[in-house]
Amino acid sequence: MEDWIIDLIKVVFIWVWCLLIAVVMTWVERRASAMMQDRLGPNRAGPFGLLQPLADGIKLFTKEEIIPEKAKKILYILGPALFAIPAFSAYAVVPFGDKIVIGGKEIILQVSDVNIGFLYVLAVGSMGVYGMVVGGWASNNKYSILGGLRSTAQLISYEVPMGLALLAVVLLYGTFSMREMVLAQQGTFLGFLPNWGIFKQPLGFLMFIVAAYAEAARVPFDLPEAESELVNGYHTEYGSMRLGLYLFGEYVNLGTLSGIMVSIYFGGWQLPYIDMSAFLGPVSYGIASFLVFFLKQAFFLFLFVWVRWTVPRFRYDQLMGLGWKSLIPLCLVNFFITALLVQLTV
Amino acid sequence: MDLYFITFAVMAVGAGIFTISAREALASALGLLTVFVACAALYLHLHAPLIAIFQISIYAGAILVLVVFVIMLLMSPDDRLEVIQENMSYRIMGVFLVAAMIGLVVKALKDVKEHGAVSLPDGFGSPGQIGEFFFRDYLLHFEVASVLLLVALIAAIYLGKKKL
Amino acid sequence: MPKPVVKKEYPLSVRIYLWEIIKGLGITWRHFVKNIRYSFRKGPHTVPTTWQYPEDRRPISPNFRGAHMLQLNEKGQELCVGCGMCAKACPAKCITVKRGKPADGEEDRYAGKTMCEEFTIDMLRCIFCGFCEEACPKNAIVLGQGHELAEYTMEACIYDKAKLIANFEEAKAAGKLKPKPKKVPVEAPPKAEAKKPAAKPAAKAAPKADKAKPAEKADAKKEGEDSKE
Repeated sequence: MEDWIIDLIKVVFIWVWCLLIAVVMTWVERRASAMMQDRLGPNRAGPFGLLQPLADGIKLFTKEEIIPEKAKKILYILGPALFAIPAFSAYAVVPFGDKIVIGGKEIILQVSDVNIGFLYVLAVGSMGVYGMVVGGWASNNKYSILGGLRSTAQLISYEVPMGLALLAVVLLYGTFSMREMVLAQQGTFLGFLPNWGIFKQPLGFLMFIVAAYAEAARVPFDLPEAESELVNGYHTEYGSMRLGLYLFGEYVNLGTLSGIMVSIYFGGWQLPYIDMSAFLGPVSYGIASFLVFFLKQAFFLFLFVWVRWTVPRFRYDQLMGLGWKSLIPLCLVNFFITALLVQLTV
Repeated sequence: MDLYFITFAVMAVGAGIFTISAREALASALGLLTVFVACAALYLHLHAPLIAIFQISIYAGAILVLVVFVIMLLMSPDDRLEVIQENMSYRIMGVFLVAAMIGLVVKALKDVKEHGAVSLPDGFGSPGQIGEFFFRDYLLHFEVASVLLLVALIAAIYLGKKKL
Repeated sequence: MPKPVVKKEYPLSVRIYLWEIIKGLGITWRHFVKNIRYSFRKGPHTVPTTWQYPEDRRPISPNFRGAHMLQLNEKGQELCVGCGMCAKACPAKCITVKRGKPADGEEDRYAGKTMCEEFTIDMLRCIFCGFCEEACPKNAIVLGQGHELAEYTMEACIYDKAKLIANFEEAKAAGKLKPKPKKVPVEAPPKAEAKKPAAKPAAKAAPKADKAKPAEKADAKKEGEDSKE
């Protein structure tokens, strides 16, 4: 097989996988939230209500597409696309498995192992805000504009601690490539812990996960949407599949952020203490590594849901205060401590 | 002249023209975003992936978001840019900017003509090499820039806090 | 005067906020696990806090005012005499009654000497106040327990005589007829008047309440077992 065919297969696979995760996540979110609130949730469509996302999808696709009269038409149509494209493209550098040997050819389970993959994630992640802004602005509705306005300020504020938390990781591993970062987490740390980033960067992980929740505009930082204040924030005026694209993009974003967390702080596709490649065949090893990665990712996806139904929303000044007054200084402290430790050990 | 370069060059110039001619503030900002993205694509083509990423994450991801923030804060979707563009002093400033820009471009083109094609050294554009540039060859410039940023920071705090 | 903002000083342990979040996560997790376990339970009423409507239905009070019915007596004769008192009493003006004489040879189908030729209730207008029931001298019209009254057409929402009698047959088959009201003597002193009606329906309702109770008890038992685990 030629290389570009393999790349194409990988791209299509990861794209379908993203969509699948997003679809299942809509169901998980509703069922899990119901369970946490002593309800049952959607349980009519199919076994356990598993076909509910399908029903929702059919509904969204068949609904009339309404463009509000006073909306800016071109921008209004552009908004959801601008939101969804960065969400999908960030996945390109997340290693979702080690490698698989098919037909004597070694295939790395990652769309593209670029040497600046890590910065690419940051860069693409910061582009998602335009979808919110354009959607909010084009709707020409005061709630939407407020949602867009909030999203800009929030995402700028949390980009900084996120970058700083990740920079400490870069110092630690000495590389920008996501795959090399995962490979650097083999073995054990201090003799008994798995050699994962979380044990070397506990504070950094905390900062990163807080910033990630803010970047994804999830509860407790869902200020751009804020149902109780802004109706639905930037996508108040949207309906049919345009709204669907916004909702989908959000879940794809969650998948990407979970993937990054797993790759950087939780050893990617590796099991702790056990070297899977020692006793598994080349093909089964590839599949197993993908499954391990997916299980870890699934945990973080569930954590997003879990936190959403636990923590109340921050007030806007609290959000800004947390970002600028707590996270950034703590990230700097973490950064300098890491630099010092790296300097001492090298 | 290859297709990749032409595509993105045309895209950048077209989006630039759209940026200065758009009558709506946010559309103009999106035009600028397109310029940044097209420029990043051109940097990638010039074997400078790190610069391309910086272009996107800093210019498109941070600076332009700030611009958009200000637009959303101060304007409403029905406001038009003509009102602001009528101000004569902006136009005069614009003339000077264009003159300076043209001068720079002409000088750059002259240099290109003198040097001709140059083969790239090993590891060109990698993060490590850019770090070396920053902290060895151009340390003074780098530090001056950081002092400038510090000054801006202090000024922002001074403006933000009415009474110190 | 605006309400003054009280700034509370919290200790560092609270201001970090993280521990509180973890405690909160613990609470939601407990509920999550509990409800997951409940949802694998057999039988309709699985999650104890909510009634999963189409599967579990709450027992309805015998005094519930739902869909109307036209009662028949023990011999299967229509009680309604077509007097039109209900139509008069109706505040929503949704009842139409047309009085008539029973045709020859059909006298034993009706309890009274007259009957209603036509009896329609517009359920879209009805407010379920129960005034018709109170006004009826023959206890012929009664509001039953039917409460799933959605229909696809407006015409289907206008109940005619056949539908109202069918409602009665259904309720009779299900044993959900309303207990007969105790006649209140007109000259009786006000004290007795107040006491008697209150006491009687309660006594009549008792057997039905008993019926509903065992199910509840079983549920309560199950819950007890689950919480023990």
